[in-house]
Amino acid sequence: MNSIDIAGDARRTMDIIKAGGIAIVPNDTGYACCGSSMDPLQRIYDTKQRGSHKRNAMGADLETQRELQRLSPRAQQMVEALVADHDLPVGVIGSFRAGHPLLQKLGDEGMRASSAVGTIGILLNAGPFHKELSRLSREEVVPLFGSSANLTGTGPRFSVDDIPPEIKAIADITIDYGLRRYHTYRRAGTLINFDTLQVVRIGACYELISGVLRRWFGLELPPDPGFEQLPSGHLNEFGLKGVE
Amino acid sequence: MTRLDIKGDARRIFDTLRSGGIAIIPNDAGYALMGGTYDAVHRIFLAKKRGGHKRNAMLASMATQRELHVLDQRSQDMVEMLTQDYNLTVGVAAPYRKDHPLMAKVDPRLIEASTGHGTVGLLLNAGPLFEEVCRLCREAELPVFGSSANVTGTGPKFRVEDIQPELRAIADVIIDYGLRKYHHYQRSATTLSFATGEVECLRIGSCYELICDVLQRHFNVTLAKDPGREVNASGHLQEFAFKEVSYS
Repeated sequence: MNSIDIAGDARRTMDIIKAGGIAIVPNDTGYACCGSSMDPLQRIYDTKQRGSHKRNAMGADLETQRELQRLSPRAQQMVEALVADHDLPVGVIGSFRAGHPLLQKLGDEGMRASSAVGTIGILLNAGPFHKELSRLSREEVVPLFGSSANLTGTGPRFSVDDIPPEIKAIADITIDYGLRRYHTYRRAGTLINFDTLQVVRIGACYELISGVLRRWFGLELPPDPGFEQLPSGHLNEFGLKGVE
Repeated sequence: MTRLDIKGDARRIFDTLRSGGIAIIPNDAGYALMGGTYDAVHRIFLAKKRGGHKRNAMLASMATQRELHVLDQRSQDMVEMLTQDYNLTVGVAAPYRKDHPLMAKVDPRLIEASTGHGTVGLLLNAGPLFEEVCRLCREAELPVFGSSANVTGTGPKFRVEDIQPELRAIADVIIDYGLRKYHHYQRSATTLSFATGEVECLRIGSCYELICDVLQRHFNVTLAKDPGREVNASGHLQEFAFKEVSYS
């Protein structure tokens, strides 16, 4: 039978990440580079030529997010509604429990590169592969951290063919599932700080996310100035410059 | 209320359909008008001012599709991969088992209005509420048919407030989940036909480029090129393939 083996692909990816490797994974919001400890994360960071104001994001499912972040009950309801009811991908930035086993595994140095001003960003609900890898991450206590499979500032990649060769070269495994679902947005996943209820990056499904938060929670998010005006979607790109 | 009650809403829709009513339901590919009886579907047809060459689609879970459609293994693999592995919404028209319990129950006039050239079109994988409604209908062996919640030829509607008042007026229940996920395509769901044993596109719609990518990479199938909305707004490639049905 002709099919893709999502469970098998996630298993192979997890084994490589667990052993300190780097994986390129197919999220609905674009291909991402990820690892589970400081060494692979540093290699990703150096290869991408990232600025020190950028942070890694975590990949996780709603179960992990509930345990790991400490959002207000209202903010948590927003996250649950976006993900569980409306089936939208969203990057959730919020304060966290430093003692959570996944963060303990990441270590102090990894935490410094992946958190800022007491918050951590978690990408939720980014497709079937993300779901399966997130389940393995939770069950086997292997943290998943990373960022878009691109050179910094050059926009997300929605096909493996479009990933720069130097990024592909550092990956120990690349899972190629073809064109990614939300390529039409031309931006990465939307990021919202749910402690402050501020948008950090306008990205995929932003108009749908805004619609849900306006209608069911009475929260008005800023309008999207449009891709031409603001290709990256970042509303506060250098907010973390100089922040340790 | 800040959270959706998907199970409760699906139950309300199902109860409405079972009792002969009409429901407006929020699929990922746009709002749809659905009915479970000949009378309900006929009222939808009249309110939409539809042409007799148009066919209703049936709502189906994958469990129903596997039983109802008669497809060779390769074609079934395509349907499975699109809906299960890649989680895409797609309409599939294919030959069907006329003795299937679901079809055996359907009023012959409704069969005529919902099939063509021995095929029936099923809308598959159109979102969480859709799946729950399909599950209830399957358990109760209730066949449900319908089409976009619009006056014919005016394009799919992605918000309840954009649905024409005369269509909202005939609905016994309207489930409003806000703006629909695939609104940016500005077309209905993509519909593929397996009538000839080969896959071809009947209507270019949402996720078409993703569907093309999957079929090209895994099955070496090249679907028709999308000429774009400016050239073909509805996406129909074989608009008048079916004969007129009068519903009389």
